[in-house]
Formats: sequence, structure tokens, C-alpha cells
Amino acid sequence: MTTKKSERGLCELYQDDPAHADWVVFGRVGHRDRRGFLKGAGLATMGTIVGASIPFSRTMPTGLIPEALAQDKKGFVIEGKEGMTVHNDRPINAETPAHLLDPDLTPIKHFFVRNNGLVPDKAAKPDAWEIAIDGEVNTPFKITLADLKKQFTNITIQSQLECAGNGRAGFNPPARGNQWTVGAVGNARWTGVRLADVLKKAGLKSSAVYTGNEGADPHLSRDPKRLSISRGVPIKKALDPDTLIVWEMNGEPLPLIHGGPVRVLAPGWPGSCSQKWLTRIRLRDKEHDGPGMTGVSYRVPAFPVAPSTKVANSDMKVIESMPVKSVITFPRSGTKVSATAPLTVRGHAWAGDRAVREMHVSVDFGATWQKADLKPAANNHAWQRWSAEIRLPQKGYYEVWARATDAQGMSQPVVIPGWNPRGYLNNSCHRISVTAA
Amino acid sequence: MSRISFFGGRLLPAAFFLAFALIVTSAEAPHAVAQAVPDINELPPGPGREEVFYACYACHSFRIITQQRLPESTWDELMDWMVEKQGMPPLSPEDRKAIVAYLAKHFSPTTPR
Repeated sequence: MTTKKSERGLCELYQDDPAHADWVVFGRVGHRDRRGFLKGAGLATMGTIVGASIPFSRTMPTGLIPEALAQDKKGFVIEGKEGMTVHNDRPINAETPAHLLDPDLTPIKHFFVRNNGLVPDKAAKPDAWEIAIDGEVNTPFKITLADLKKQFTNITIQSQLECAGNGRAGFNPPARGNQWTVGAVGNARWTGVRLADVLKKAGLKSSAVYTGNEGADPHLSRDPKRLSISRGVPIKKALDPDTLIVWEMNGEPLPLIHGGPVRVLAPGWPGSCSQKWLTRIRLRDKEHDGPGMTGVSYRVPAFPVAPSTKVANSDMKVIESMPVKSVITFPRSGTKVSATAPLTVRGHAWAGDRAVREMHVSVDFGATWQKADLKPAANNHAWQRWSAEIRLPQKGYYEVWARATDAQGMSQPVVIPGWNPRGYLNNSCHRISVTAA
Repeated sequence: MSRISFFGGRLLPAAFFLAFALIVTSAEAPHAVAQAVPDINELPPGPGREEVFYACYACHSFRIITQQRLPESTWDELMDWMVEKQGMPPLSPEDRKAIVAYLAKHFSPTTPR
């Protein structure tokens, strides 16, 4: 298990048939009274591979690939970015390794990048950038970024932003698209104006029910008539006081790769609702139907379906608020610690439009859960800091699992949630491995 | 080879590389990642590789292909999606067959990563 190829081969084996893979790889056989159990040679084999014995093997589920083996390590470089996992370079798509998400505000150099098209040329005069507001409004207008800054109340909020496909890599059968793991999320401080204030100036007609955003990013085919992506939100979300048009990120002019000079911020909803390089907001008299709104894009089945099901387009509904989720940002997965000293683990939790109410961690593969300390959010839609002091009872291999519960009582599943054709909304518990010596 | 007609017919691979190197340099230089010049060796050898190379790289890099593991039916559907939603010129039946067969063979759910 020293080469990358063999690690990934192991993952594939587990994807095909987890119980069989256990038997083949470790000689591990599920125990009748528990989800999993390591027997004889299997226990020793798995322990050898992860580099330590597994004290909580009694509660380790059958078919669970030890997190220590499931880690993936890649490296590429995008200008202005450090330590990112690059999934694609045209279009540019890159996620943040979990341990780099540790600060409360995700530094720009570590903030994930998700593009559907090409990055446009940098605006020579950002303040002259124009945005059109039209469609189902009484007074359509165009406004420059300079006037936008002057004419409306400037607002600064923290907000997390997450790609709807974050976690896609966990689905089986695999879903097409970038194979995001856990790091297509970040929390930044954004400055802009309320979209509600801008729409008030235009005067919404009663027929306006949805926004349709457009941006300046060229289509991959370089066909100037095609939009790379054009999504929107229902009017209720557009009028949410946290839905903004923003030009600053963490106190800096919005970087080009994040949509600069100006973008939408629709907090808590799929990142694609936060149109980058914003040029136009068209008010619609029906659900917007631009690229990325129809078919199976940014939609999930209206009812649970078996993996691989062909779902009719008419049974797919648009994703709105993202689900409850959390990430462990410290320690970094694979860390070696002392078995006797208490260990502080920490991370962030968020829940789309809602708050996170409780946070729990487990060091015994989910058999028991310990309540973590959970801080309130800096404001609605910002992620929340959590931390817990754990004790590892003896030397060996452990996994820390983290589980958030939102204000409505919804919790993260420990296994991959409902399969859907494009692999959205995987909010299963984040896991890291820790070896105590 | 329908995609390459954009450049005026079948070109020698070397000229094709050069054409792309120039486009990439002028349009993407400020924010490009380290590796921008296409290299066919990013794709495993086998029948259909050239067809994939010419049809796909016109719009996107190979990493969006090689990071995925999809069943043949999904690769096949993707060809329609590329035409209908992404502006790819329709593939000839022979090219489509070769491309889907190649992708299904080298990037299936059972292919080790």
C-alpha cells in the first residue's frame, strides 16, 4: 500500500463490493451483532497496513476503507493559489485540502475554484464594469460598479460558499463531473450591496418570480453566443438580506478567478447561484431556464431513487439550500499523536440557510459520540467553529468522525446519502485518521 | 475528426500542437496552470485515443476525463450532452463509436485510479 496506484485500486475494490473487499484484502468478516468486526488475520493485516493496531476494531463497520488508505495526494499550481488539489485546468477547478480550511476566514490563496467556462480577461477599469437589471421590472437600468458602490448601502458579511457537487467523488455508481471530495467549500468576508436594494430601484413587477444571472466568462467552445452558465434564484431568496452583489473578498478587491470585479453572493445555496463576472440580472416570469438550470444540472430527484436510476427530467427539482455539513480541519489526517495526552480536534460546520445546533465527534467508528463545543456564527450564513477534546484510550489507529446537526434537527449521515444522477449534496460525515503512539 | 475541421482540415499533429499552444498562450496566460500544452500521453494508448484527443481537447483539458470513472452508457450520453449543451459539432458515427469505446475501456467504474 505504498504506491498511489495500489491505494486507488483498493478504493475501487471497496466500491464494487465492500464486504467482499474486506474478505479479499483483510480476511475481515462482518460480525452478526455489530456492523463490523475484525477477526484473526484480518485484524493483524489491516493494522499492519494502517501502521498501528485498531483498538476500536470491534465497532469498525464492515466494508469501511480505513481513512488512512483512502487519502489522495495530488499537486498542481494555479497562480495565486497554494496547496490546492486541482481537478481540472481547462476549465479551472480546484479544491482545498481539509487542513487548509482551518482558519475562520478561508484565505483567498486557499479558497476553492469552480468554473464552468473560461476565465475572462481582467477588467482594465473595474469601476466602469456594467451590470444590467432588466426583464420583469418597471425600470430596467444599467449601472457601473462605481455607481453601485455609491448608490446603495454597503454591507459586509461573512458567508460560506459551497459547490453543490462537493463530495461527488463518494457516490457509487460514480456521477459525471469534477470529482470533488470535501474541500469545495470556504468561508470568506464579502463586501457589496443587497440585491434587494438594487431590485427595489428597478421596481419588481408582480410577474417577477425568479432571477436569471449572466456573466462574462467565455464558453469553453469560445462561441460568443453561448453562456457558460446562467443560473438564478426564486425572488424570495433574491430578496434575502444576505443575498448580495459583491466586489470585495476578505478585504481585497474580488480576485479575477473568484468572479472579479463583481459577482453575486447567494449564501447557503449551491455556489453556482453566485454568478461570477456578473453582467446582467434578468428578472423572469418563470423558473429561469439558462444553462445549468434545466435537465439534471443542479437538480436532484424529487423522491429517493435507487443508484443508477434513470430519472425523468420532470422528476428533477432545483436544489435550494445546501444541507448540514462539517469538516475536520485540525489535526491534519494522518497525524501521529500521543496516546496519553488529550487531543483537541476542531473544524467548521454549516447548514445552508440554517444554523448548526449541535456538533458531535466519534473516535470509535460511530459507536459512541461525544458532544463538541460549538460557537455561534459571526452572522447568518457564516460557518461555525467547533472543537472537542478527545482522549484515545491506548496506542493504535483511530478515526475521528464529525457530525453536525442543524436547527431543524437534520444530521449528517455517516454513509453516503441518497444517490442522484449528477452526484450532488453528499453531506456524509468527514473522517480523518489519527495514529496514537 | 470533425472537430479539427475548425482548423481547415486534417493537420499534422505537430501543427495542431502549435496552434493550441498559441491559443492557450494568448487567451489564458494570466491565469493558466502550469501545464497548458496538450500532451496525448496524458491519455493511455489504445484504439480511439487520437479521436478523443482531437474531439475533446478543443474545449477542455484531459483531466476532466481522466479523473472520472463512468459506465459506457454515461460516456455515450455525454456525447449528446456535449453537442446539445456545450456546442460540440456532432461527431461522425465512426468517431463517436471509437470515442465511447475508448472512454468506456479506459475510464470505467472498475478501472483502478
